[in-house]
Amino acid sequence: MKYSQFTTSDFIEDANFRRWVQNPTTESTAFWEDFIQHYPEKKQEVTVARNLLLTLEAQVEGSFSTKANEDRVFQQIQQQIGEEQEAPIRRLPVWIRWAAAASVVLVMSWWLFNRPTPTIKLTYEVNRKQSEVALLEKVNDTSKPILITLADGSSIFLSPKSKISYAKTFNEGSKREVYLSGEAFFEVAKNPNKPFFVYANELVTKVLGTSFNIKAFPEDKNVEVKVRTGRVAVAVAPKISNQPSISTREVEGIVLLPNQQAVLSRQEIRLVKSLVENPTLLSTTTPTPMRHSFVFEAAQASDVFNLIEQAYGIDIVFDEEVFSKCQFTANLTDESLYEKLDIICKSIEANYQILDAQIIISGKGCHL
Amino acid sequence: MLNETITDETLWQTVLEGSETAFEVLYRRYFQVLFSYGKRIHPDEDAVNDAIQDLFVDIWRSRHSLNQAQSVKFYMIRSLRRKIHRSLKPDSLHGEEWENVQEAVLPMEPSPESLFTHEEDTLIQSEKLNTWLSQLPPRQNEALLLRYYHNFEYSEIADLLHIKEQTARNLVQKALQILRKLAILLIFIIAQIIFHFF
Repeated sequence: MKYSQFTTSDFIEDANFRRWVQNPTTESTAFWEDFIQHYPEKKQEVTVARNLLLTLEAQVEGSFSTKANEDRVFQQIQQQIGEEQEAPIRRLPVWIRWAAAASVVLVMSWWLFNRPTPTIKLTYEVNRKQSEVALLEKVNDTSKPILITLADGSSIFLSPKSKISYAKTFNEGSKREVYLSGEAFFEVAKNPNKPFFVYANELVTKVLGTSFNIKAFPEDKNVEVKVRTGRVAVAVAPKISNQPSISTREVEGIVLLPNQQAVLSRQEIRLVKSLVENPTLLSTTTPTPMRHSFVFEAAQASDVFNLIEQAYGIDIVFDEEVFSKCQFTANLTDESLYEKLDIICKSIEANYQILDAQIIISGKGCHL
Repeated sequence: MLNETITDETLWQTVLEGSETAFEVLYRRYFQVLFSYGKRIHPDEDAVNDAIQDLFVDIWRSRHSLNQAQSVKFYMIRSLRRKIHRSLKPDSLHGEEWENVQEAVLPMEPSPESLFTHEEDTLIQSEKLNTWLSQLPPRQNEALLLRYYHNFEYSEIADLLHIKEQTARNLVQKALQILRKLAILLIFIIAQIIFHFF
């Protein structure tokens, strides 16, 4: 090691050595301690060199000024700079001025068209206040969903960390109203004369009689409604629907069918309809199970699609003429919806895509 | 965050791009070092403050025309040095002609005996070293600090002091020799003290 031959002057001259003395790190300290262990005869040189450097440092730092003086000088600098900046800017080249003007226009127009919706966040607490009658509150502090049965016969599976409020005199007014924070699965008893409303953050869900799930935790970016059975209408809460930036679609709401979901983005107040992640067969949820057989033997493609459409309650869009010559044979009893679609499309050389809440089938058709 | 991790060069670039935050960070990073350096050239604190103020106003005002500095610290120390010398009376400007000035001899090399009189207190010993340091001819002291505290290259020191690079080397080595002798004495003293205690 070259350091083993070093004199005091050499150490002081060495940039690594100085770096260690001036800004020691765990690694550099370990290195130099190790060095002295291996070359104890160099201990004096190292110590002297180090002391000298530290003394120099102390000398410089001994003539530092007060913090007050440091601050005062900076204030004066800022003052002097500030005065100069009030003078008109003349030195900017023309193209920079044009660029600056253009960017102002750009920013302005971006702001006009994309200005963030005034974020009036509707929370559980705000929603509750609109109730004219005294409310009961149920809070699920447990780690499992709890079952709540309402006076009209409807039931609610309330997820953990969620709470729900409803009138003490539930089912006595002209509508049934529930306020939700968190997640819950609803099975609403049919009563066409008394619509059932769920207020969850900025989203209002209106139903007559059906089952569906709502997820609306306070910190969530979205509010989600997933429908299992029946029809559900969802819309943005009236309190924020009068804002000009909100489109009619969000105000008037959309209708959801089974296996469909609506997701409300709380920031942009945009409502998007799509399919739920794992569509389930209607027969498992409806009171009178319909039997669908997914065993196909040289079945017409259009028949296959129609059957799936019925079984899941999902719109399947396809050109009947194109696929009229396609035949399909398989047993798809145990496959999920998407697995079924994969297998069918592969065998008839077609593709499918999900658009909104519909499944679109495309392909060239089959030649016998 | 900005203060600790960012390099001088990046900070400088950010200042040139017009960041006022970076400007203040740069100021806070260098004020004390500049002040301490300035006071060595000119004992009047107000004059040093003024020079530092001038320096930073200049940096901000001419940021559109400044280049990426090779060494930010060197740039600032050199500018400060010029400003202070400019503010000094014209006749003292002749002091710049160091190349021809005879280096003053160290006032008095302390005798080894005098060192042993305060052997009980190590604090006093390092104070002693400090005193000797300040007794060095100002030129030697400055060169020493520029080299071993500010970590400048000899070429930079030569540039700052308007001397040849070899002269800068000699200046530093001469000062170092004297100090090293003293420092070795100090080590003996400290060793004695430790021996005395254990």
